[in-house]
Amino acid sequence: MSKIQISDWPPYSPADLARREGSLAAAKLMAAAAFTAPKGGGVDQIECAIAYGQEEQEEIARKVEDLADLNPETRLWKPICRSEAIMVREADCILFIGDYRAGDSPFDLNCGICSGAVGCSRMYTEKSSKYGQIDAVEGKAKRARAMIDGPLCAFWVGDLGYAVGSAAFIARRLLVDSRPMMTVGVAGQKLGYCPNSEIVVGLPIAALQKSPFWDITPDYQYLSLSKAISQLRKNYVTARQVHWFAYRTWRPKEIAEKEEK
Amino acid sequence: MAVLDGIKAANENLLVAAKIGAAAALNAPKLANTQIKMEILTDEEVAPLIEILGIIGETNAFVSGDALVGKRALEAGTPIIELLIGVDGTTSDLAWNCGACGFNTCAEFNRYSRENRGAGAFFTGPNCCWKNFDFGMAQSWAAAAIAEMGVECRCQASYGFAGLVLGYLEGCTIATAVSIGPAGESIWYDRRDLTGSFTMKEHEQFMMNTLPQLYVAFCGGGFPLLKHRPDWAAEPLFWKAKEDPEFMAKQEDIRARVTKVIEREKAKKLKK
Repeated sequence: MSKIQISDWPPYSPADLARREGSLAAAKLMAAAAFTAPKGGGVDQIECAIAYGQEEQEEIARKVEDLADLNPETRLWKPICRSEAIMVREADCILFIGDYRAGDSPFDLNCGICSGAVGCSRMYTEKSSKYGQIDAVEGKAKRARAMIDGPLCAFWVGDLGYAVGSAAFIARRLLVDSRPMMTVGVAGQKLGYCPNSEIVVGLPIAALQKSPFWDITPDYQYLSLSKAISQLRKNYVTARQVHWFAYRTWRPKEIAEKEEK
Repeated sequence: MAVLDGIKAANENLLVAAKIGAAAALNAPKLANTQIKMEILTDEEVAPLIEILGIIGETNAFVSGDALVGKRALEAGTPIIELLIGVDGTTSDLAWNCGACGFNTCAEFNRYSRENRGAGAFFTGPNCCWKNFDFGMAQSWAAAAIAEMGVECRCQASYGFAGLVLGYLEGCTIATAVSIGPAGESIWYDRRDLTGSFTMKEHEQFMMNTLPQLYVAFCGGGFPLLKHRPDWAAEPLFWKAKEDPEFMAKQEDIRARVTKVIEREKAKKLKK
């Protein structure tokens, strides 16, 4: 038997690592919920991946920061990316949920969600298709979509919503914090998480005493906890040097002591 | 104090589950700030939906099963409740320019959407992928919240479609329903209501029609023999694609009959 100390501070200390294991377990249960979520026709289409560890999360956070420059004209895009990159760093782990059919294996229902009356034919004509199959690799460079190589089967995208919703619902039940993020999904997909999926959503997960995913500030990249701590360390070490003090040889007099003399 | 009939009380209280499901749909996370619309249909209000699905079900086995369960519940005096959830996803206000819709920018998508609006087999499009994604999350939360209460339910595009064509969820382009009740075990899954609804011969024919790959013999000259029975070579049948005017005529007839129901229901609403 062993005694396990669990704490959320300092980050990546043994006690913090013990705590993070709980979030990892939650991530796996959330993935289970994504698999059992309702799907059109019950058709298999979902894959999951988990990023767990400082290095892995830092890599994803930097990729999300790279995305921030993609839409200079879009007012909210950059702040979303910059804020969510911080959340990736502060999370305990990241669950990725992808749909591996959305890019090249539509439901063939002709449902109309992606294109209206044109139906499935839009996907089969905009991407290379033959023998009733789509090859999304052919012509991909020419399509050169910034983040996702569409068009996608929108019916399956709705099903991805079911899967991510179910995963988020389980997180809520477990009282673990999590929030679905498009930016994190795109970054993860570019880094090889859910490698078979053209569309991926990321769910950072955290079991911290304050959720890192809500109650953030504007300009969060300037005001994040890591910035504040970094600033505090800088100020603190300089402040404590201002009064040079040989602690082994003397001690400053208290005001009361001074008055007595 | 009073003594309540437990089964009656359970079915009467399904509306509470539907309302909590609706609250859960609103509470679900949204990536794209998507506005969800919902309506709850009870009692006789579900009858026209069942009628429409019954007609469509004449050439669609999936839909016919959905219709029959609803019909039997209505006949038994324990009507299902339909929580209709919809969204209008035809415009993207995101400017994320993600490319998922197949356009490089949201502005291009919006232009295409304005100029190419139309109905597919079930829904109107085109729709922004992220609006549709949010819609899926909302559905999932509604159903999960209802299931958490131990209440029978199933997400069904069929009832959502029927609700849309009957004029519910005005302005929405996609809709799905959470069918709730009747109170019982796996009503929408085991589908005991469908007991005796097909013969083994019909089942075997259905499988051969829908999964021909299982039955295809050596490909030979390009029109392979079908292994339609153990001694399949004795009476050769060949796999060939052909037009089906009879089926198309039936589809046309179904469309006309569904339109009649829609018009009848519209006239009823106008009278009210």
